[in-house]
Amino acid sequence: MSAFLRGVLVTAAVVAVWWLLTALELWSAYVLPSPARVWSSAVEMTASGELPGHVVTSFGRVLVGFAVAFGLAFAFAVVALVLPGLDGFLQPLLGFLRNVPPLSLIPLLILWFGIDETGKLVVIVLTAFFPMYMNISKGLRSCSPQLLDVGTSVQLSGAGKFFLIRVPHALPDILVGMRISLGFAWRALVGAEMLAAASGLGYLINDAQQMSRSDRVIVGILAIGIVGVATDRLFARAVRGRLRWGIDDSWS
Amino acid sequence: MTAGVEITGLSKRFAIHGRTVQVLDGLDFTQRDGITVILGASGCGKTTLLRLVAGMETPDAGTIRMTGTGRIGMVFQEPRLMPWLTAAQNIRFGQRAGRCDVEHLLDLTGLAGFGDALPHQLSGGMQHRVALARALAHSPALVLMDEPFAGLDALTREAMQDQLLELHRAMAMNVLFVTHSLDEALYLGDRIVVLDGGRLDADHDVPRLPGPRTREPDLELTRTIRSTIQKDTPC
Repeated sequence: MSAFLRGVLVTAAVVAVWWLLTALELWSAYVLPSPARVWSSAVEMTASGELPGHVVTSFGRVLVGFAVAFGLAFAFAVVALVLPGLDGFLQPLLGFLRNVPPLSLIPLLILWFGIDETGKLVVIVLTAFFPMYMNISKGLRSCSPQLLDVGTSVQLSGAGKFFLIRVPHALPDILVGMRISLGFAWRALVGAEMLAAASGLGYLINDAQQMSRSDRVIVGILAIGIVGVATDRLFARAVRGRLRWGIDDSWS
Repeated sequence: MTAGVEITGLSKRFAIHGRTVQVLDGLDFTQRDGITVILGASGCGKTTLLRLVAGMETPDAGTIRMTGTGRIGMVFQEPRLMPWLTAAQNIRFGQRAGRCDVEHLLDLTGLAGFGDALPHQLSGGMQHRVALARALAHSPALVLMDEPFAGLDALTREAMQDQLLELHRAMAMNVLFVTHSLDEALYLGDRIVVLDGGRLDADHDVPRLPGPRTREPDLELTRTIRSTIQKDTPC
């Protein structure tokens, strides 16, 4: 049975159980709205452009934050490689930040930046930075000295060896870091939006909760999950085309 | 256009687990035209000598002077191909676009039709051919070879040795070839130098009759070199 068919079967089973539980009326429609109710809300929110609008807003935030985090992670990983002395000074601070959940900064971020984009961007950047930084750093450092010798033997400069040997060699690690970070960023964003935002999927869920509209809450949750999975799949597919040597199996 | 190397008083030591190992100790050597084989037991400093000549290590003392003009190519013990590049891209590695005729090199090394294969799709012998072609792509005047065929099975090794002799005849280049195999040294070398205790211990010209080389070595020379190696304790 194909993976797609198995996925469809499991989804159908979950929806069937959900439908059965609501049909038995064990709980009120507020606690657990029926699949039909959620579906009609989803259709209505999509048709009105409300849901796509929130998806685009949230996705845009993730992309910007992810891009900034990638730039910073690559720069810090290069510093760690080229200037190990300076890296020694940075490590305690990085270690501290890595262990502080970015969502815990939200009260301060609201105080400093209000509820505009900056605070959410900071949360995404801090969340997405560490998986990428650690993987890129590991990838760049673990380059085979034997391959670097080949660079010397064909008279490549230091920059040539970096871009033609070290970076391609580190690519599998870099991409793994990016994939993990993308998932982290998406999850942190929704959290940030639930606490401080006027748009986005997190805001949609929070707003629906305050209006006692559990059906809209579930639509928001489903949208987050579907967009998250779709992004991950698209990224994996793009990567599989690029990585031709050896790690295909880990990119399902 | 060929190039050689002139080495005087070359010394190199390494610190291994707090112990200093003197690998080369005032070595003098001058490369002449042809294939020079450096022979010695494992750990005698053969690879270190090649790495010094290739500029991958810096000497503690002594000088290395290139004679003649042209570039140096290097072939390592393992193929060391970039796993993300095809055979053709590996051969072209480090070159500006269009600087070398990859098709010709693929032909020359018996790899015609395999230019688009990735290293993991090639056999061990073919990977070694790609590595050889990569070294030749720079039209080197001197090729340094560090036990390049040591990891191959006997038949592939013999085929690669013949290939090297053919390439050496076809291209104007000198070869500095490191091996610990006396048979290989006798088959390939125009000159055999024995490395021991960080210096050159013996230096033999290999007489060659006109015509193709045979794999039956000169017995007297074999005995002489073998006795040199056997009297030395491994370093």
